[in-house]
Amino acid sequence: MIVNKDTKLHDVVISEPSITAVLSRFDINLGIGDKTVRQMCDERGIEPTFFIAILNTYISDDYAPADAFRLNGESVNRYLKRTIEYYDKFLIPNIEQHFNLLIHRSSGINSNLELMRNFFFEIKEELALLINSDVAVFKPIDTIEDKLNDLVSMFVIHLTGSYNINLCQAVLFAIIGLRKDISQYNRICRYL
Amino acid sequence: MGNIKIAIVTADSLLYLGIRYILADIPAVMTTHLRCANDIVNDNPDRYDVVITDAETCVSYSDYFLPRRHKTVVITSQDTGNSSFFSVDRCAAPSVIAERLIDYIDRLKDSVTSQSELSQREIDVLKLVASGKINKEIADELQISINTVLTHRKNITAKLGIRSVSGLSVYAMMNGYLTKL
Repeated sequence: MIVNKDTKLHDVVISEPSITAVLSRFDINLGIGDKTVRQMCDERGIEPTFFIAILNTYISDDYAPADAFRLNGESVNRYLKRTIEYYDKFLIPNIEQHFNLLIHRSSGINSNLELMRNFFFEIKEELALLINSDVAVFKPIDTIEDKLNDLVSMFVIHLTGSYNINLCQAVLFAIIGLRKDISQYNRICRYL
Repeated sequence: MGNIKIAIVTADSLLYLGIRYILADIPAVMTTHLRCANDIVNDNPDRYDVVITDAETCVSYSDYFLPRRHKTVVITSQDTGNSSFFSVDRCAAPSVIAERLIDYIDRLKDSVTSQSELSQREIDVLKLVASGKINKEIADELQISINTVLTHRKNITAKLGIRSVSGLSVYAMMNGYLTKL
């Protein structure tokens, strides 16, 4: 789907539920009612062209936002800053919590999971450096995206031994969510 | 995979001896000398994995060699940059000839292993990457060119879905190729 000013925002969320993470960076939370994008932007004082470009960039890998990001530099910087704060406060702790539980609950000893968690900690540290560096100019974080791809491959292709299936899937889905978000973060940076 | 069967097809005894000397150091390779291409053309023509021949023989038996160019190495004394054959300059230094032939056979070995399984050479490269070696050091240690190291690394990533050095290190540890970082 391609979002425009007259699109109902709930249709966007139902079509792409993970976009709730993006909306939260504009202080838009669940229970959004029947508002269109235009109505929501008017109510919250959000620049609609920029908002629509963010949503479409997140939804579609083929979407090219033209000048929407270059012309709204301040809004983009604010959005990207909130994005990495969101990783720090929500996504990373969520993955870590599930990873810890996965290792704790997986019957027997699965040293592979511990190795993979250590690899996740390496990603976490790399992201923490970025968060604490008080970034003035936002750049793509390709190495972090690559490492998340690697971690997904480790789960999907190479995982062996015994483990709790439900928790393992929960960790994997959380990592895939972060990877998707970082991939879109990188795309936005490349348009600046 | 089993041994790689290589036929050296040439009437030039000196050339044959030189090639055999170089190939003697490569494990899992079996060589046979045929002085005349008729022996291979008329009897089970695809029984060899690789055929190494000289330019004259290649031209004389082009009906045989052209359809098999992907498994033919031509030892030539002139630049054949435009040739569709993999060629080796016989005037080059012996070490250069050896490196080029070893590269070719390494790649052949890799191409016949399972599409998702790492070949022994790829495992060798993986271990060195995982232990923090740079491409030049890996090339020196395995006595292969940097281009071959890059090809192996590309194949490793394609097979494992893992690109970063630290990710490869974790994979190596998960599979017992490395005991500690």
